[in-house]
Parts: sequence; C-alpha cells; structure tokens
Amino acid sequence: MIMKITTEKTEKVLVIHPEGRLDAITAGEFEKEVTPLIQQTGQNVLIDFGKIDYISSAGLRTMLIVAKEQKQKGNSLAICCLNETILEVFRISGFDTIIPIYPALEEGLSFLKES
Amino acid sequence: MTSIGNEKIIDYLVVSHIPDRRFAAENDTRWGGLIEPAPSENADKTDAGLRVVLFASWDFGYLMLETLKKFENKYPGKLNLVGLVTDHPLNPDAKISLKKRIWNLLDMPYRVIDETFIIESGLSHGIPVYTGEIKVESFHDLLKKWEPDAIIVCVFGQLIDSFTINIPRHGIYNFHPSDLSKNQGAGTAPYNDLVIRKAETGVWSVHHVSEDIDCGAVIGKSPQVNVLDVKGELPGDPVVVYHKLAEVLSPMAFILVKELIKNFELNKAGWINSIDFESLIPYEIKNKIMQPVIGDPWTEGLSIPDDFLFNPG
Repeated sequence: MIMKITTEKTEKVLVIHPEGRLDAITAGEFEKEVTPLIQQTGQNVLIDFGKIDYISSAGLRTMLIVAKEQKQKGNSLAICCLNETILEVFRISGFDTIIPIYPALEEGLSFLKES
Repeated sequence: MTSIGNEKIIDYLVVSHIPDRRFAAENDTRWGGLIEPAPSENADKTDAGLRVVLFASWDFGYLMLETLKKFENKYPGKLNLVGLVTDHPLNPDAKISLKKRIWNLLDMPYRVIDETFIIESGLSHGIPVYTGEIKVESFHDLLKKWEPDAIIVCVFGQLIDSFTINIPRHGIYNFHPSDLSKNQGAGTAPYNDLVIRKAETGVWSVHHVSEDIDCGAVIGKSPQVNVLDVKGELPGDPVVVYHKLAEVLSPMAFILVKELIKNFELNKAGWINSIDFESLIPYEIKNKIMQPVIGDPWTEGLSIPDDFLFNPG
C-alpha cells in the first residue's frame, strides 16, 4: 500500500486520516479502501487532510465520488485541516460549495455530530 | 504559501506535480497555451505511423483520446497521436461559447475535473496539449510543427479556420451527436433537438470540417442509439443522454482511424468521403446501444469495447 490510511470511529462520525499525496497513483487506492468503509458505516464522514501535502485532479474526483456516495445514503461529508495551497485549490475550483471545509478537526466533528 | 489564481489551477493540478512538465514560454493567445509533457513520459512512444492531432474536450473528448491512445499502444507504428487541442472552460475569457455549450450544464468543480483529466491523459501519453486560441500565428506554427496527416474533432468550442483545415492531407473530421444529414441538432445543444422532435433515438454524424459550424459533408452515421429510459421517457439531464450516446463513440473512432491508416499506408492522399459505420459496427454493440438508459451510463462504467477494437474481424 502506497498511501497510509487510518480511521477512527466516534459515536456519530467516521474520521479518515490519509497521509501523503492524493494523486493519480493513490486516488484509486484511496477510493478502493474508503468506499467500503463508508458503505459499511452509515455514518457521517470527516476526512482529515492534515497529512495530505498534494491533491491532483484524480484526488479531487475521488472527493466528488465520496461526497456523492454520502449524499445518496443521506449522510454528510466534511473535510478539515487543509494546508493553505490545497484550501485555495478547493476554493478556486468551487469544491467548497459541495464539501464543507473546516480549519480544525474539532470543528468538523462538531458540525457532523449536529448534522 | 504558493498562491494559485484561477488560471494557474491547471499548473497546480496537472503541470507542476510532475518534474519537467512545463508551459511553453511564449505565445500570442488571449487565453490558455501550450503544455509540454516531461521527456520521460511515454518515452517508448514511436514517431511512426499516421500523425493525428485531436481537437477534443469534455467526456466525449476524453473517451476519444483514450480510444486513440489504446489503439496506438496496441499498434505502435500505425497511429501516432502528436498533439491534443482542448477547450479551456476554467478561463472565463476563453471564446469557446461557454454559455451555450456543454460547459453551461456543468458547475465549476466538474469543469475542473473534465479539463484537467483530459490534459493529464494527453500529457501522460507523451503528447503536448494546447488550451489556447487557434486562430493565432503561434498556434499555426505549432500545427505546422506537428505536421498532422489527419485531424479528428470531438466537442471543440472554437471555429476552425481554413489554415487548420488545409493542413492535414488526409482530412479533418468532426464527430457530432445528431443526424446532420437530416439537418437535425446542428450547433451547441443537440439535446434540445431530441426534446423538440420527441425523439426516441439519436445518432452520431461524422463530417468534414468546414469553416462553418457542423456544415461539412457528412461521411457517415452511427447506428441508432436508444435515448429513452426504462419508462420510455427522455432523461431530463442532457448529460445522461449524451453519456448514453457515447456508448458508440469508441467503435466509430476506431473505424475512422482504421480507414485513415489504410489510405495512409497506401500513400493515398485525400479526404474520406464515405464510411458505412452502421454496417461495420457489430451486432453486440448495436444491441447494447439500443438498451434503455439506466442510471448514468458514464458513472456506471462506460468503457472502450476492447473485443471489438482489437478483434474487428
């Protein structure tokens, strides 16, 4: 496995912590690993970008797929802890209109516990 | 922090993350420009065979590019993709009819995905990608350098000028998702034509490119494609209907390229005037495209039918 992904479950939220680059090589792997987790959990999902240092268009596409999966199941997705460059990519490309973004893990958790 | 403006998102997503990919230094286009792959990308690519430049964008264009790449990888020395010219829908200054064409149906995140995917796909195949204006001297020089034997067009937002049309000695061909031989659905919104005619099926036309939109001689049409859902209704989302029509695109591209290569190898210059796509496409594919629309055929896994492409009989 190229990308390290760890997860933790809270009462209402599944938190996913990927590490490294989310690019053409790792995006498929991320999707393959995360999709069944999301399908099984039936919970809201928070993806922690704190240890992601690059996202490519393949990574963005994967985020869209995960967001769509969550929406179809009636659950929410949020992301948090983006570095400044990735945050700017999400804002310029309009992804922040589809996926709520929070600066810190606690804020993301708080939003998802209430939604 | 590295600041990335709207134009530079391409740089972040598809250029700077691969060492030695680069934007060409100078050009006179008002938007976009030339992006060159790293020398190491697809380093085994040969320089032999029919030289093709693809003018293409959106999902149709991506599928066309993937089909031609697959063909070239399977038969190196027969086909040589030498350049990709694509829309730049992320730049509001781009004169590509952003408000009328497919881009009008897509929010910015989807535009980002669509544009960057096709650019990434071209660069990873080792071919340069141009996103700028085509009626400028720098692009004309680029096209002369690429020396295409043929140009294939599929979803391209700029009018193509006579300079470009006169370059390829084997012709320039556009794929359009409506029946142009019956004057149906020309222009920017072929879905609207299906709605107005209450059509149950749609077709693709392949035609010579002229300086007017969708006006060149039609050389062939696809078999009929069922565009209705299981309830017998036309889906309300034009993108879903276009994705259904895309099911026949790869086989048609394969047939056109095969014909072009045949003429190229016989050193028979000139444009192709007629291809009977309807009889050349096998029953299995005709049967598949006549099935009703279920979900979104693209996200459900639209693929290039290898069995047909590589065992065409």
